[in-house]
Parts: sequence; structure tokens; C-alpha cells
Amino acid sequence: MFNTQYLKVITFADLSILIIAASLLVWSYWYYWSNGTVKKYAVISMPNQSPLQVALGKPKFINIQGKKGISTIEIQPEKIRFIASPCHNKYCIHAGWQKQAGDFTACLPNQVSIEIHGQQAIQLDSIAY
Amino acid sequence: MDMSPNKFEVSIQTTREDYLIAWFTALAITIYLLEHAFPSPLPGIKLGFANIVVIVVLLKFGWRISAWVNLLRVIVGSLIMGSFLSPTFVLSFSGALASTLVLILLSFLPGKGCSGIGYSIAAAMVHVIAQIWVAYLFFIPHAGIFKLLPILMTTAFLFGLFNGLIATIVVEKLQNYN
Repeated sequence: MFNTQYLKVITFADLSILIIAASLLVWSYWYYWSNGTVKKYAVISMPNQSPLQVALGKPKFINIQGKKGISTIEIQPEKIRFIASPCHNKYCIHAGWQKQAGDFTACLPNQVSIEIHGQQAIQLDSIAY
Repeated sequence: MDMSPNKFEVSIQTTREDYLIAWFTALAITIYLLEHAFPSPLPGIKLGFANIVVIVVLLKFGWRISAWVNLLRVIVGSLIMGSFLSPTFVLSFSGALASTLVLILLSFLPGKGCSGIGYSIAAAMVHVIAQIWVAYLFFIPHAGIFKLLPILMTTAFLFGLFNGLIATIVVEKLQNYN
């Protein structure tokens, strides 16, 4: 059985470390798991025009003139998606809602793409080995 | 012709320290390998029992030998597992390096300093934080990776406490053999 005499070795430094570690733990849950700390926005790229930057705020629809026709994009709070496109396979529509910073979808035939940006500069999804 | 074996014998001067490092590293690697034989409940979560050896060595023999044991354990352990110089190794090694640095700093605390419990918790926490940062900077540059940090820190805290208690008990029991 565990003998409490072993706890006699605990010093002031131990208790300080314990308290610092525990408060860091609580802080990490608050900081990393609470939502809405990073402001996100979407960047819509299209042919022959500069990219359009939109806030992911109040719901609205945007029509983008692409190479083959008009792509319709729906914006809802914190998310964005294609809902209509003149392309053949409709991959852009099937990609569904884009929510996280770094999410990306594109309609290649129509040359329209959507990317969500956060505060962090995003270079790569990941490196696989 | 004289072909006595002594002619070709290479002799290396070894100290008592070298033997301590070798034996304790071997012990730590054994525990490390046994731990790898069991499946982890969640990826990235390890019990870290090998660190008990590091803490005990730190308490009994000082930071110099403990740092050797900690870093050699990761290098030799990865050579045996076949993960040397892979991302897994880079993450392990960065965690071990960070925790070694913290243990060295803590061992210079004035007064009574830390017991095994303080050392173990501090090392475990710094280990996971360093690993997440290295993973973010080199392998997965996406802010989403930090969402793992609270879980990893919780397990590091609990296992750090647990391993610290074991290390404390081991040191107490070892006093009977002096």
C-alpha cells in the first residue's frame, strides 16, 4: 500500500511547480478550446479579377463570373460553400461547407476558388512520410 | 612472429560515471521498449515510465548523468525501434532535450529544491509543449494542432505526478541499500 510518509519529501518548489502546471492546464483548455478567438475570412479567387475577400458574417449569396458562367456562393456565419456552378462534375458543390482556416475548394472549369484564412499564415496542410 | 592478442587490444579508459550512465540507460531503454509493446490508448499519449529512471538518477547522482541517460535513451531506443531520424524521433528527441534542460535548471534551485514529484511534472509538461511546437514548426504548420495540447498536457500532468511518486518511493527504498 501507499505510505503517506513518502509525501514528506514534497518541498515548496514542488508545490509551486504543481500549481503552475495545474493553472497552465486550465489556461490551455480555455485558450485552445474556446471558439471564436481566431477571426476567419474567405478569399474568393476568379479569372481576370483581383481576389475578393469576404467576412464570414451574416448570410448572403454572391454570384461570381467565372470562365464558363456564374458560380453562386453561399455565406453563413463561420462557413461558406458553392451552391451552383456551370461545371460538369460539380465537385465544388459536393465539397460542401468550408469552415476551418486552411479549408479550400475550387471549381477548376470555372476557375473560381474559395479559401478560408485565419490569423496564422498557412503554408502546407501537413508533411507526410 | 609474435601475434599476441594484446598487441591489437584497444583500451578505453572508463570511469565510474560511464558505468552508471551505461547501466541506467540500459534500464531506461528496457522500460521504454516494454512500454512500446503495449498499444497506446490514444496516439501521442505515452506513460513515460522510462522517465522514472531519469528522475531517480537525477536525485541520486546529479544532473550530468541524468542528462546523459535521458538523451541516450531516446537515441538508442529509436535505433532499436527503427525510427532513428524519422519525425517520430525528432519529436521524441526535442521533447527529451527540452525536459533535460528544465531538469538541469531545476536541479540548480537554491535551498531544498525539488523532489521527484516536482521534477517529474515539470519535465512531462515541458516535454509535450516542446513536442507540439516542434511538430507545428516542422511537420504540421496548421494552428489546429494546438487543439491537441490540452489533452496532452492533462495526461502529461497525471502521468508526471504518478511517475514522480514512483520515483520518490524508489529513491526512499534505495536508501535501505546504501
